[in-house]
Order: sequence, then C-alpha cells, then structure tokens
Amino acid sequence: MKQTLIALALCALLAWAVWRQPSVVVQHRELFALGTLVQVSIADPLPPALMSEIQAELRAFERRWSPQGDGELARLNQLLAHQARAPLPEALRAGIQAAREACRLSEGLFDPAMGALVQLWGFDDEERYRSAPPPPQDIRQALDASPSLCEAELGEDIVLSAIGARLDFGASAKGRAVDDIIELLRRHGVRNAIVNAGGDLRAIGRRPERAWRIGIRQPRGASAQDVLASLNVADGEAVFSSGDYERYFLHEGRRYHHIIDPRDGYPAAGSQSASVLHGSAELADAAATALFVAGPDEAGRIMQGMGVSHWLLVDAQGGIHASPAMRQRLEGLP
Amino acid sequence: MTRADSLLLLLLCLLIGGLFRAVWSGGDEARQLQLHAETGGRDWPLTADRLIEVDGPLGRSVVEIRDGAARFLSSPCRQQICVRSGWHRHAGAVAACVPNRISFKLSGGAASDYDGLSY
Repeated sequence: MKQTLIALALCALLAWAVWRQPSVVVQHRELFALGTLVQVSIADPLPPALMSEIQAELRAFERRWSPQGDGELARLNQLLAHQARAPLPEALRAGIQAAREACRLSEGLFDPAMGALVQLWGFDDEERYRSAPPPPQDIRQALDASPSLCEAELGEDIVLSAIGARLDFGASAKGRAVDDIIELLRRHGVRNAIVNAGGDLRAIGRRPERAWRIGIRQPRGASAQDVLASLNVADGEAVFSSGDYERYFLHEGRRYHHIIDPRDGYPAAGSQSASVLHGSAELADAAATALFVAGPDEAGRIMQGMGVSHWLLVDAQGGIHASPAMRQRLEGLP
Repeated sequence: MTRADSLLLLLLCLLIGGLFRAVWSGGDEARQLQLHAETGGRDWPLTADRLIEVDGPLGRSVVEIRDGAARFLSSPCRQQICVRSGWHRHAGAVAACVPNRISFKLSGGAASDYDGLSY
C-alpha cells in the first residue's frame, strides 16, 4: 500500500508538471514579401485569417514603396526625374519624414535619395545584377546627379535641391513594414510574437518559458546559421543587421556588395556587418545601414547622433566593436 | 503487497513513463524538410541523403539533403543568396530562393537555440 501511495504521489507531481507546461506552442508561418521570406512566429493562439491579412498588407506596402512599378513612390520618382518639386503623397509622408530625419542624424550616411546609384550598381534588380562594377565615370555622374534627402523640404510638396533624384527606401522601408505588421498583430490581440523579414526582426512579448533569443550572424561563417553572439530581446525590441555577405559579386578578387557609401558612390569598405538593437524597426533598419557605412572610426559618433545606444560592428578585418550597452546584452561575444 | 497493488503500480509506472516522454522528451516528430514552390509543396525525410530538383519561374533549383541537414546546392537566380546561406540543420530553420519562389523549412528534431537570426 505504501508503494502505491508513493506512486500516486509521483503521478500527481507529474500531472501538475503537465498542467504547468505552457499549452501554447510557438507557431511559425512564412510568406514571400518585401523581396525576402518573411517569417512570423507566434506564441499565442493564431487568429483566423491573420496570415492572409498580413500578406495583403505587405503586398499593399510593397506596391506603395517600390521605386518602380505603378505605386505611389514609383509615380513620385517619375515626377522627380524631370522636376525638383513634386506633390508628396500622403501615404508616403510619414515614412519620408522619418527617413529624412535619419538621413540628417546620420550625417548623410543613410540617404534614400541615392536610388540612381543603387540602380546603377544593379543590386536592386535580379535582371540587372552585375558581375563587374560600373565604369567610374558613370558612378561619378550618378553621384553628382543625386541630391540628398537630408536637404529636402517636406510640406505639401517634396522639394529637392536638384532634378533627377530617384528615391529608394530599401534601407528603411523593411523596418517600417515590420513595425506595421507588429501593430497589426497587436490589433489582433497577439502579445507574443516575432516578425522576421529575411533576418531583420522585431519581437513583442516572450516565449511561454523564457524571453525570445536572437542570434546575430557571423559575417564570415560557413552558413547563415553560424552565430557570432546572441541576446534576449525585450518587448518591442528590433534587431536589424546589414552585411556584405548576401548581395555581392566578386570581381578581380574584390568583393562588391550592395551597401553603397553616399560619399563616393562605391560599396562601403570599412565593415563586414553592422547590427542595431532599438525599439523602432524603422530606425534600426536605417541605423544599421548608417553604421555599416560609418565603419569603426565613426561608428560611435554616428550612432550617438541617431540616438542608438545598442550597436555591434564587425569591421573589414573581422575586428569587433560594440557599444558598452550592447556588450552588456550580448552573450558569447568573443 | 497484493496482486492488485502490483498491477496498479505497474500501470502507474507506465503512466509516469508516458507523461515523462510527453513532457520532457522534446517530442518525436519525424525530421522533415517541407519544400514549397509555386507548383506546390512536398515533405521529404531528412533521414535519407538525396538531391531534390524543383522547378520555379526562373528554372530549376536543387536542394541537397545530407547527414540530416539541407541546403540549396544550386539555383538559377543571379544573386545566389540562397546558395550562400549554406547548410541548415535545426528544426525551424528556413531558406528561400526568393526570385525562383522556392523555400524550405526543417521540422522535427532538435530546435535551434535561437528564435530568430539577424543577418
């Protein structure tokens, strides 16, 4: 009888453990959008039709913010090709204002008015992807013809300092889209989730048993799964990275990647990867680009100017630079 | 201890074993690669090495399964982002050739230590 009682007690203990186990598992859903694979991980019950609503919102977002096609930004670019002043579409106003602010705070290292250069390098289009850099005179010409968004006047109209600007928000729009999807999730009552747009992500809440844990890619790892360091993210935090390891081509032994330095029109030379932790995905996106372009010498000043306290930079030689606040958050950093 | 006690004890032990497995074993879901393309989706076991050819709008991509891991071996896209992403091993890992509209996700087995990767 004594043994039976012991066994019953063990059973009760296990039943309690089962009851204590979180009943909700993390569910993952993927969809193609924003030129990448977007993964939504949810640790709450999945609201019906949520993914189709996300897909519809991202499709509308893509159309609105694509520099080509027939959306608002494409039509604005068509006007700016021939005139320095054009009506500012209401759907783009907040995003362009935020981008101009980021441009100014980054001292022009993040500048979405460099679309002509991005187009020249061909990194924005599968069809025009290059295997050799453009001629230097073409780069010079595109650079000289690109007015900066930092100097733009934004009212009823957008007024740039010269004709011929091509706006391309490829370095901040993904962050804005992630912020939008996070808000959509919250409207649906989702409190615990990650929206990961091809390695740029923002989290809300936590897993049932612990905080969300994010790995930051080792830029020269053999696989995208190789992690340099990791951190636990708090509610609402975004982690965005820019690197030279995905979109690049090799020409005569040199790597030409897609992050163009607005100062000389060539791929920024001082970094392998740059990561930013911030409460706004839109700012984190722009700041990661600015940090990459800044390189190790200017990183601290530029990040301070942009109001970013958590950043990590791997320089061109593989050296690691991180803000003190980021070092405190990172685990496994060499 | 009576025979009934012994029987009860045996049943309880089996119940404990079952509960233990359900709670702490991490599940016994088969390790699979879930392949998605515009033409449809299909699951492949990760336990057998193989090459999978799948057609997309740009042409044929090849996914390789070897030693329980998977990668894009080749793809007709010019940027080659999917090929450069290398091997994927943990449950929940995803990879995609976006221009060719082909993706795969791994399921079952040990999950990654991370809920997301920033890259």
